[in-house]
Amino acid sequence: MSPATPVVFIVDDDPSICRSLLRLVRQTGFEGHSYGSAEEFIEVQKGPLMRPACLVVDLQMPGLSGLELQQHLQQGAARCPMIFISGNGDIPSTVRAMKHGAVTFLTKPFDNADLLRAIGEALERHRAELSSDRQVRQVRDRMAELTERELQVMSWVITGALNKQIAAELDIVEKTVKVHRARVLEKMQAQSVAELVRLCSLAGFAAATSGSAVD
Amino acid sequence: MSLITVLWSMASAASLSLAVIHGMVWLSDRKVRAELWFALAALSMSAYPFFDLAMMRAESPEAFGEAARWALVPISLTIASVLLLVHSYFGTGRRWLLVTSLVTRALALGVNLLRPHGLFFESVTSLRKISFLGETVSAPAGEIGHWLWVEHVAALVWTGYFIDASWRLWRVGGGEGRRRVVTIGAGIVLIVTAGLTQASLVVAQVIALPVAVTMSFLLLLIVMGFELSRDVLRAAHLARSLQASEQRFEMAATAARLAPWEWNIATNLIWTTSDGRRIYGIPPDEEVDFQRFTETVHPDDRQAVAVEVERTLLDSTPFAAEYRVVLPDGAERWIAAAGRLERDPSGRPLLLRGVSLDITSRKQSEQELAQQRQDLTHLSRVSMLGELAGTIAHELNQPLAAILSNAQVGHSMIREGKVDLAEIEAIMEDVVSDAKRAGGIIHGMRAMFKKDAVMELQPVDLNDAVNQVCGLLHSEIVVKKARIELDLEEAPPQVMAGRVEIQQVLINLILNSLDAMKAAGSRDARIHISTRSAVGSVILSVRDNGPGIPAEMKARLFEAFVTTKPGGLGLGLAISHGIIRRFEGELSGENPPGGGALFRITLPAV
Repeated sequence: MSPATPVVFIVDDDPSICRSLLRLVRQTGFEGHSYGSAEEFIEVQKGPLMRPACLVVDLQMPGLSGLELQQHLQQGAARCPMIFISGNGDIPSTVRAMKHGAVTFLTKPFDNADLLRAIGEALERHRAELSSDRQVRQVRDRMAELTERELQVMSWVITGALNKQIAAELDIVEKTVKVHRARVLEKMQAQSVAELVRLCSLAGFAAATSGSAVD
Repeated sequence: MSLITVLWSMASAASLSLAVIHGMVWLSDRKVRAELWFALAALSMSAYPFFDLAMMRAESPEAFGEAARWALVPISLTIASVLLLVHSYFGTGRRWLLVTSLVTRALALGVNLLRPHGLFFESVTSLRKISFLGETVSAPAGEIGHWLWVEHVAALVWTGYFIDASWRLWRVGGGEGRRRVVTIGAGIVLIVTAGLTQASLVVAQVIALPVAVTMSFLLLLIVMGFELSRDVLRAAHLARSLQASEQRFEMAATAARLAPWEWNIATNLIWTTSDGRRIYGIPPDEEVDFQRFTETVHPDDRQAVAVEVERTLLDSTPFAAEYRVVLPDGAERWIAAAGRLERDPSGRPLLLRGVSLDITSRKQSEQELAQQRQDLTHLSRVSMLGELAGTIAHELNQPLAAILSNAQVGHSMIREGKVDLAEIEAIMEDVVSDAKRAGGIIHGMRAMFKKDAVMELQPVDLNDAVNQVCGLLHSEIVVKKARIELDLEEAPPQVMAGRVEIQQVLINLILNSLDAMKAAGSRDARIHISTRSAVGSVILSVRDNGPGIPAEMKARLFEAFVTTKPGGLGLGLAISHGIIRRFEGELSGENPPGGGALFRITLPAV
């Protein structure tokens, strides 16, 4: 399988369930891995996930339960969308799982189509998460190219301030501001100020506020 | 007629009467030998007065000698009879002394008959006329017999026999025996000695009396007859009180609904009361032998009864059996019978004697009670399973989910024409094993829900029971965040029990542990289940690491309606305890060192 093949992790204490779901997942064309307990999964999957992935997890297992695994993963690197399966799903557990971002909750026995649909949704969600991660990294890389002064100018540009106002705030001539603005747009590969604003917000870059400039 | 003739004839008649009366008594009960000997003694005695009269009336010495010679015949017979009478009546005489007495008696008689003039006189030379009871009678005078000493020896021997037998009876006899000694033993010795002494003195011409010993002997007969009639009277009295006591016994037996019976093993006849015949449904006049009795017993119980009878005949321990009897109208009746075997001195079984008791109503209430107990057990099992419905459904959904998923994968493989036969085979294998698993759960559940009319005991492998329960409770245990640790001995002996009931007890113990540990907020809740074989039994232990049995519960652990669970009925352990006791096992609970609670089921091994 190529490194880009989506991967589905199955965590269930019932080996027969694990085998049947692995078959389904592999038949569908995904990479599949199964684990007999939440602890085993945590032990094996430590690194960050670099390709679309999702977890199909049994709600009730000896040791850590599905919900506890969900909690554990929320802070971890191997975070990915989760699908809960259970032979005896109760409403409180379902609510808790969904509140913490579960994709869906299936009651055993379930139709393969339902599970595949949920897996598709989960992978899509993870793919989106992964791509947004990638964009931020790109924006940050571009930002790293900017000089101190260019960053200052950018922080003002995204507030929608005019060159004249920026010049006054930064105590530089308007022409210099114009040059900086052009270079910022070029380095950030933004076609317009509006796109720059989007990139900055994506990367969490804060806009300047009046009086914030120091020099 | 002269007074002497009248008196002596009367004496003869009296003796003859006594002979006839006691002869009749003997004929009616031949076991009483004393009566026979007395009758013979009296019969012999009845002949004697005529010899007495002949001697008194003798006109010539020859006539007197002849009469005296023949008189010794009835006297000897009387004495011999009295000897035999005492021998059987006292039961203490020495046999050799008796034989010696009879032999010397016979010798004396023999010598007497061989001598021409008898034993007493060598020859009677003349007759003296003396006055006796107002008449003139003859008394002998002559040369004393040279052989008279034989008569004296004989007298000495039989007197010795009487004294010896009397003395021995006196020592061992108690009140009744001593009275016999006084009246008969002493009477005989005194009267016979007096009579013979008189005769001897008359013969020796020391005193002037005729040789008339009739009255002495008559007196002896009267004393002995009186003594013997006391026995007859006592026997009659005993018979009356025996009859009264029999009536009392039968009344008591009827009141207690007991039917006494007696099986004479030699004649193979069974006697029982009219109540006994009624209980067994046998007509009043029908003869009953062992075969007939067996026919009344329910065919299913005959074997057990036969085995019990054989055992009793063999080792003599008391007979005891409970069995059903089928009455002629087809109704059944439960009987409890108990009895004891009697053997003859050589050890052969003589008779089996005992009582039967109609226990039908007791059996019925026993059966009703057992039925109610079983209903309650079943009810509690069903309600316990009801509580587990959710987790058991989960347990069932596992294999169903796997089957559905596998089947769909296989189906789409075929639909898409990408059939991988090896994969299809693996799928089918999984489907089969999962279907079996689901079937097993349903089978187990159905067994638990089923209500049997009667609990059937069967050999149960406790390890199997534990494994099945763990399978059923798997989800419940997972939900309760507990762990089961199994420590099962390799192939322990089986136990006689109801499989479902054993599992019910086990489920009850495990759920109790889970609840207790959850209520106590235990982290790392563990339940340790072990099987161990001991001498003649198998022990199944369930131990948890929870808070243990509360102190206030310890004494009342197995009482009904005692519970620590909010909303609990308090029947679980009471019913479990009842179940295990019905299997002749034991259920105990304790707080072992190291914490937690430990419940132990001990069941007898097959």
